Amino acid sequence: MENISNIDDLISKFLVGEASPEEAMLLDDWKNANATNNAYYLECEKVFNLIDNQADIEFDTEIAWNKISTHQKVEEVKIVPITKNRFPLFAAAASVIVLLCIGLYFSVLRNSVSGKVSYTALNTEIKQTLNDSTKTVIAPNSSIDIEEGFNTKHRNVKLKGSAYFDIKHDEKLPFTIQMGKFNIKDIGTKFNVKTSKDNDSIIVLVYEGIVELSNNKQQKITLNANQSGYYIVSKDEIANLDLLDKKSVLNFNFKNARLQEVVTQLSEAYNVKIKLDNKGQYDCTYTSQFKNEKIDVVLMVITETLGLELVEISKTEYIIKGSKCVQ
Amino acid sequence: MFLTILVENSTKISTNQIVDSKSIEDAFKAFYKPLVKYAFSIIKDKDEAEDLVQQVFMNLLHKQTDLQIEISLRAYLYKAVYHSALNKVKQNATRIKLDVNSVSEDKLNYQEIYHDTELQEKIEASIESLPAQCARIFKMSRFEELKYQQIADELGLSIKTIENQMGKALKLLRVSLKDFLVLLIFLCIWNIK
Repeated sequence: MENISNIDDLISKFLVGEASPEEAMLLDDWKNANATNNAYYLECEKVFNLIDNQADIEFDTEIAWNKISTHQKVEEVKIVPITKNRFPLFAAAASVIVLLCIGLYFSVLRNSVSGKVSYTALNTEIKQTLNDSTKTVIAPNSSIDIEEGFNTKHRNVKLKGSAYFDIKHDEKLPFTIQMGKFNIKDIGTKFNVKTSKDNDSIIVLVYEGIVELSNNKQQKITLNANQSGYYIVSKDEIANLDLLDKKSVLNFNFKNARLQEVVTQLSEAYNVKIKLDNKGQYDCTYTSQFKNEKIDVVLMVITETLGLELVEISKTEYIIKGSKCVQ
Repeated sequence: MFLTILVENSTKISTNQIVDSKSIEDAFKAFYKPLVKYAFSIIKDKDEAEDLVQQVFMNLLHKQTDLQIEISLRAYLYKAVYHSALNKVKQNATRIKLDVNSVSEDKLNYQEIYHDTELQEKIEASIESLPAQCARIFKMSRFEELKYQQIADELGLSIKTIENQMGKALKLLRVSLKDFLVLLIFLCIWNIK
């Protein structure tokens, strides 16, 4: 394995599209060297995707090979490059068929059983207002099934997949979403329900109002606006995803602040012990802002910026090492 | 009839091994994924990245008779992908200028509903908490889409410094956004763009 002076530099260079072929190969070798490296790389890739608002890319090598190997056989005499321009007609025809299917499927399902209604989004999401004026947006490959008596006897719907809900609260007829053993009950609200690709995780993101999540095991949690919860289907378990919890606001805005002062403020706010092991560090100055960061992240950013070393003794005790700061 | 090529072995390099369709198929299966990722990093379009890598392999299959490659097959593939990707970027540059005005209405509504403002705030806060110069360089690269060379010129710094600062940004952001990667699984399902 060749020497890689700083893997983070190489990974970011690759991810922003500035790596030379040699660097790209070097990175691939490093990734393939062991599972830890590969996991590290994937995490970096996800961070970039998260920031660029880009989905992870997935593809099928087998299908791709079949595509070009069949081309090879057909084109032994005549060589025609693959370009996207060859498909518009086909694509247009295909979309007409898909639209027809959606229309057909939709009308068939809607009218099939009296009182029972099913809304299914196939390739694209659909916006649907229910009888009780609840607004929904159903994600692709998802469906909402409604039994007879909706808005008169009950307001229960069955959801498969993902959807967005904007619900008007009615105390007599609470709105409930059933997803197998998992139930979501609203108390006047706007929220989003998303199911993962493997169908094993369901996440509920609440924008307004209050939502109650429950399962067959009598587990129950309540989510307020800006909170999220998730359900793991295989484990039949509900949990808070408190990442989005805004209740505890920890805001810091340091401008040329003395490190000693920074550390004192942080220890008080986070209720942790932070020790500077060298007096040379006291007068280092630091400028940055943090909003609702975890203490270990804050300390890591600070030490990284100042060229110091962070030692985590425990979750509540940290030592900052190093004799002088890089300013 | 066959292409003479140096084929890289994981441990040693055997010279003048004959490469036929079968070896190209093996190379395809081994390198397709990393090559598409590489092409994607440059052109930022998944379909185009796949088309481009497939085209490189098709060329290789067609050129079997008249192509002499002195480097390893893998290095050849990476170089070919690199150059086609750069060409593609040049072609696209003119097209994008024409497309700017045609943002579809659907896309805007969609975003309105699924805007994960919390997530956006968290990302912004994480970037703001980076050391000042590091944050500035990172933003120029990700949001203004400037190349390393352009950033270096604008700030009067060396490319090496830009590389280091981007690496540092990645290292710090990875730690501060780690928890949010859990959320990413969900974001990916229902393509929020």
